Amino acid sequence: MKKKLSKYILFPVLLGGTCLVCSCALAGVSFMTHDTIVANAERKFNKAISSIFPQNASQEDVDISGEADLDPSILKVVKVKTAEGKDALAYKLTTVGGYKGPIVFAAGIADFKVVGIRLVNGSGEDGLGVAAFNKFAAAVSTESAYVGDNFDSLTAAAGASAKVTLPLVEAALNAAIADAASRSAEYEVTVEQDSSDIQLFHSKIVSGEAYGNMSADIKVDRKTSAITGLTITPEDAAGENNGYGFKMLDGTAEDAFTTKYVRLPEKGLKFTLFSKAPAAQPDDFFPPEAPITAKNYYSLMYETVKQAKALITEITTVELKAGTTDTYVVDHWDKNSYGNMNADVKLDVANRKVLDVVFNSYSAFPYEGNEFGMDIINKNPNGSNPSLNEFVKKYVVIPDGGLSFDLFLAIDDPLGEPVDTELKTGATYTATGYYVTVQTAVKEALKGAGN
Amino acid sequence: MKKSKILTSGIIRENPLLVMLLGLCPVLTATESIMNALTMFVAVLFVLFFSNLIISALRRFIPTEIRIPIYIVIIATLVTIIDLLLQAYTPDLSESLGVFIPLITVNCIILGRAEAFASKNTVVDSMLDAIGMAIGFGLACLVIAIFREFIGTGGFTFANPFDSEMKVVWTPLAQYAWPQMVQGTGGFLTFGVVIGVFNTIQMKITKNQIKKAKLLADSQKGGC
Repeated sequence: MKKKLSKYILFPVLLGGTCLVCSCALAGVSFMTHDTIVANAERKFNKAISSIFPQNASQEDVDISGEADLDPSILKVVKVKTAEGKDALAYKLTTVGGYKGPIVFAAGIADFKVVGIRLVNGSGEDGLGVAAFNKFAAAVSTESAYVGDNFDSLTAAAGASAKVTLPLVEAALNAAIADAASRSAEYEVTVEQDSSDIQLFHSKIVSGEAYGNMSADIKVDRKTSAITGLTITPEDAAGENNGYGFKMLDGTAEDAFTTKYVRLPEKGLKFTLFSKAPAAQPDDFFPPEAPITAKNYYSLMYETVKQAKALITEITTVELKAGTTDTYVVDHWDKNSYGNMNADVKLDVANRKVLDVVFNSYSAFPYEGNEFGMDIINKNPNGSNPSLNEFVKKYVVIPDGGLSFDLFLAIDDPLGEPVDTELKTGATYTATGYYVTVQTAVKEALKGAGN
Repeated sequence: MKKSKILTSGIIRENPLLVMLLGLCPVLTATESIMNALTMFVAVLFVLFFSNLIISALRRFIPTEIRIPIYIVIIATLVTIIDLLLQAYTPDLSESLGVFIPLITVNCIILGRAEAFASKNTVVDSMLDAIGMAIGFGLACLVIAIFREFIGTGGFTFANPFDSEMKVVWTPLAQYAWPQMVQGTGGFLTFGVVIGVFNTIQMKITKNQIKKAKLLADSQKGGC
């Protein structure tokens, strides 16, 4: 007699088998239709652009793939030449969140104003939210544009209300306006080598906005990753807000922005002050006294710093310390500021030993998150990071007899990606900087010794 | 049961919408326009036809205890397939119907026919049942859609489902349109009226049939 399969085995097998077959069928159909569905979405966005900018002369996609700081609500940017020959931008935007989900929509921006909005895909959001969006979209036109501060009046006029959806739409539109302002500006940044440490940048912004055009001579100290010289020349005839803009640019204004971002302190303006894209800054970042001037000044500095960071890679100098025969002063700098340091490295060339490393300066500073780097500088082998402790014990804490040269010659290219080396510690930049510093001294000593 | 009876029962006698009152939710959106109604008809026909076919073919292998989850998986797969196909080839109609296409998965007509018919009958009978039921659903939707679209927009709009740019718009009474009819309210209102009319006709037909049967019986008695 045939033995029946237990239902505890049969049922899961049958259910699993059904799911498997169904999954395969779905995978096949999905594979077959995916490209067409994507193309449909693209076609719909293009149709929305044509509806906002009828009979536009041309449109060209802007490559935003490398823009890490881009606001998450911006999905795509297209440059459009309108039928009248004006430059404009079209954005594919999404609400970040929603009552049920996101709304994807197109927004046309000309002269820093949103002159048209069209729904691209609202299937993720609640129907009432989509309806409110459509009412608002119908109210936005060239004659009744959204300029950044009239959202409430436009929605009220349109009779649109959706407590969750509309504020998200407003946030996405504001991000697009900010992005359009920074994108439509044109920059000229040229670099002139002054010395090994100092570089002089001649930068210029033509933003097209009143009060937004200026040029600057910017002195960059590559060793400290800071702007140490700054002369700004406004290119507009009048300063924003009865000349306040000019005061801001020459550093005599007293607002918090000028104090922190324009006025030059003794140690210079750190690159980190200008590391965030202008569009990613919060709404109240640019002071109300002269917001256009501030925004364009910040944009100019952001572009300059970006280029400075890209141009400067690393520099390491080594020389025998005056009055000694066994100690080398090594100055190492690379664009990752936590790896910048100046140290005296004492060597015993005859026995191929590193006897001591004394830090004269370390460019980065202790802050929450950088305690690991400071463990190297402080030669602390009992920090909270076990792999860094190992590094400190092996390379930083120097025993009485010294550390072997071979230890510091084992890694050929420490500045290359330290994927599999012991430099990957959780304070990789500092560890790499330290290793390069000592290695440079060792190599210099061996060169001198004829090895 | 005769094949023709299986096919026609879903259209009038057991019409899923007007008689059995099954799968009512999508009707509100699907009957906003004739194009929507036709698309929903195609989607329901596809899902019902293939789910009936597959379930009747596999009915001997599906244990009773786990039949419902298996039906649901099969139906959900078919619904996802038609949803993807509509998104790819008729994107505007797909968007217009929105969530109501995925919701076919839980449409009572589909699961009801799988449970009540396909799981007990042959493949051919199940296919005929699916076609009849889908036509019944589609015709009911179409009738409601004709009224709603005409009153709601003042005419009709027909578009090429594969290219919505190609369309014929005929709205001679646009200025007298009552837009409420293409909203939810209009859907309920028209649906109620159509059911009322359909049932009145059905009752009259039944009464006539009873009357005829009585007359026939009386005449036969008199003859004896």
